[in-house]
Amino acid sequence: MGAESSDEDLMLLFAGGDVAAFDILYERHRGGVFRYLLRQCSDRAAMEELYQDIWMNLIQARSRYRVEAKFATYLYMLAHNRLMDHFRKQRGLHTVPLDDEDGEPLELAASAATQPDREAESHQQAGHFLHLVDALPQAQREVFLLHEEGGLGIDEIARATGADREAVKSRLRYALSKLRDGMKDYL
Amino acid sequence: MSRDDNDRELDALMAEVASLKQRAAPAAQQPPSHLDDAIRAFARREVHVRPQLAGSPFSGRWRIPISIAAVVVISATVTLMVAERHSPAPVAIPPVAEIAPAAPAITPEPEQKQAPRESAAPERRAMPRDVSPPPVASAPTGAPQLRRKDSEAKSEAAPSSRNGAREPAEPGQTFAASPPSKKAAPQAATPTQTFTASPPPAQGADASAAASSPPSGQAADSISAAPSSRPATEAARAPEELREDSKSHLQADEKASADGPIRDYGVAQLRAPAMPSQSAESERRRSSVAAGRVQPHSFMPSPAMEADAADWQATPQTWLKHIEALRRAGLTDEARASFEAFRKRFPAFVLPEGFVVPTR
Repeated sequence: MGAESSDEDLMLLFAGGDVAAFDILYERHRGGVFRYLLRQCSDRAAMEELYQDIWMNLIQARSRYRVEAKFATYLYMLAHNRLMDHFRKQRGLHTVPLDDEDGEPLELAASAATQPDREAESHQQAGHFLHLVDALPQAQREVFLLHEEGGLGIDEIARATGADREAVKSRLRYALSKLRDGMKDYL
Repeated sequence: MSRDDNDRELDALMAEVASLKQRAAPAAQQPPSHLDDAIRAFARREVHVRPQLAGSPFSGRWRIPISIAAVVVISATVTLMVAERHSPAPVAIPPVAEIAPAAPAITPEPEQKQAPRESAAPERRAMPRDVSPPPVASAPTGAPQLRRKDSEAKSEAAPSSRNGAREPAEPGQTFAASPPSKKAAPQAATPTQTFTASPPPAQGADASAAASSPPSGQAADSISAAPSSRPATEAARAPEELREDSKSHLQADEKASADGPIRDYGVAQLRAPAMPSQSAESERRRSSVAAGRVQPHSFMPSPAMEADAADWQATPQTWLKHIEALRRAGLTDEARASFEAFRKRFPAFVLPEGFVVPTR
């Protein structure tokens, strides 16, 4: 076991009782999951609770893990499901258009750009990018974040979100197009 | 736009955005430390409290099926054990040989069917009806030469079995000669075995008597179930001694035939093995038995019975049997003396029909 071990091997070792394997695995994916949630959930406290719940679910289900897909796909599948559960409990602002194949949400999802702390970042190039990401529709944003933060491909994103592969491609295309267009001034 | 073009466009977009993000995106935000600490502590807690062995055959999806199989096997085993414990034990049936260790030479008689009924109350039989003959190895399986009066034997048995009590003797009560002493007439058969002679089958006047008699095939069963009506001493009699007695009885019968109805007290089957040839007298006696005029019996008297007077003097029936045995043995004086003693003791006792009073 070591840094060169794959995520799948580390997860199997952790399922066998190796806590050190989990430490390595957690270090690899803690930032991506955190940012995935940060970009989609406006409530920081709720977002941290979701973050903690996702990792606890992974730890408790370690014995049922089977190498049927990439570990990242499995991890972000847990994250997606937990996030959807959170959205269903919310009313009003955080509506998730799950069946929009075109990637255009029926209702504009709440964006982290509305947060006061995000307003400060919008004035900078980096912040501008984040602002553009926050402005994406939720479905497109999720697909983009899974691609960028989780490192998942089209098929893996489709499996994690339960969406059609073509829908994932379409949403990702829309998201990337908007980001590129939004950064024209900074290119 | 073709699919490949779309894929190429998408790949180009991803590459372009990735460079933008690399240049413009701020330092990737990381989760706060308190979340990291909580998650790592939870992981250690889970592993230490519920350790799970990866690759163990009893972990994962095999745990439940193996557990179910183990429960089923244990349940079935316990059920079988309980069923075997509560199953009724087989009843031990004594072999026929133990029940009826009769001499193989003895021919089963039809009257033997009466014996089981008699065995119901052996203690009530003051006058054992039958005495089994000695085990004569050379006895043919065929019908004995001299047979008892079958109908009389049954008539003896019927009232005795129905009435049960033997004493005091009732008017008209028949009886069969029996050994007065246990030492007499030893036989190889067990004391529990008794049987009576039976008339030869299919003989004119015998039909009526034979019809009422049980099938000869059942004789063996009655033999095996017969009560202990014979003294045990009979079982010890030697075949040679019995043959001698049978000869003397034959002579006595021939003598007594002139007196009237001949009463065969069970000598027939004893004579059968040793007397293959039948005399005219035997034929007449056999026909008399079949006609119901003669009381059949299966007793082979012996002078040895005299020694144990206390036994045969116990009841009038046994005393009379003893007297008859003496008479038939040719001991007329002894028979008469015993009869006179009998009368002194039992003056009111009605002699059974057919009893021959010994005379000078």
